[in-house]
Amino acid sequence: MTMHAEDGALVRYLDGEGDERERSALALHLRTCPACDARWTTLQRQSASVSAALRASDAPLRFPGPHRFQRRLWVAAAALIVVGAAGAVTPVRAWIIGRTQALWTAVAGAMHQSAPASADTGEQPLSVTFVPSGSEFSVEVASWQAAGRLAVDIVPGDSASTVVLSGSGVEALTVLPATIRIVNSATSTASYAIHLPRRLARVRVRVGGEPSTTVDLRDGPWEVDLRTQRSRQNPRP
Amino acid sequence: MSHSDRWVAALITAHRGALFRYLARFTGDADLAEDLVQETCVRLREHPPANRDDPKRWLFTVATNLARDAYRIADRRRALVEAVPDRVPAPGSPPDPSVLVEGEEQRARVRAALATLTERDRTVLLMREEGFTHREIAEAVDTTTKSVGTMIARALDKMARALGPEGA
Repeated sequence: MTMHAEDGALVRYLDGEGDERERSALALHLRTCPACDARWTTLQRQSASVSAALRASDAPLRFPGPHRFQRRLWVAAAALIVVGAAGAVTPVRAWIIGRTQALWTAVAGAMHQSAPASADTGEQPLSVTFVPSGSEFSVEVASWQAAGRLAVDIVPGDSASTVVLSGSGVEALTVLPATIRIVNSATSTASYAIHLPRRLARVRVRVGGEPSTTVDLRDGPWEVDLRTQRSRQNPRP
Repeated sequence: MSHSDRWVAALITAHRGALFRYLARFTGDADLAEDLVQETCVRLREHPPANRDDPKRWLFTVATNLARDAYRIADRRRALVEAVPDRVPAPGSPPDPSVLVEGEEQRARVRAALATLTERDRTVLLMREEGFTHREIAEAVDTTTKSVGTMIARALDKMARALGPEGA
């Protein structure tokens, strides 16, 4: 043991770390060295005070409880998404863009446990709002379905949104910087509405393994029947 | 639900509170912390650790790396916003104490105190608060176990000075 105990040794002692030989030697030293004993007391007091200050200033936990967690959409990006029927992207977060991996994956019912609620039940439909980056956008639907429709249109503002309006069989909605990917299956019956900002009026849509179709939404909202594979575009008034 | 999904769900349920608390302290922004918790969970689900012996440490390591990136982005954003005062404040920027109510003042003081620490010292201090051993902390910040005690002492001194009588 040197003349005085190092701070590192005192903190190890405080935290119950270090081997038994070091701890015994330090305990003995503290009994015989007033300076080190005073420093030990200070570190103890600081440790307790800082812990108390951190606890007193902690923000309340805002993560949803288990029953809502099962319906919560997971967010991968550092804040682009606000979930809900009337969500909006807060401007503080909207500038964080440019990720090349999946920004988030929304899992219907979390862990594939349950399909999204039908709009008829009055429960909140599955929806995501986000801010796409770049000047191009793609919609990818994994599969044609047993029933349901996909509708795409442009709206004012910078935000995009995807809503599962009804039906079931949606496994996930994955948002990438310039793509929304709907993970469904051939037995799905869900209908979807996608709204994009005007700057992304030319959108590529691909369903199943088919080649993509480019749609110019300035001509009007576009929709496709996911069962019959027939699409149509309604002219704007 | 698959076995793997159950494991992920159990892990998240067990640690999300501590993760949120750690990330909120680290970044000074509860909203950002919530998003980082979510992102950590997605990482866990999409790229689970090969070694499942110490999942809590894996979670906190991933969360710390995400928080560091976010904190640096917020720092650059803060500089940008300060140049244009009418913008919405960047996450993590200390609010004006003169308009805060009690409680918020306390939180602002603690946030400001944490901001005086280096990123590394902040990580060390906050991981210690979450119950990690010195060895685990050393691995997380890429240093020796023996150095962690010194780093903690330094962080405590700085925090105590920044907090004033409250932290003494």
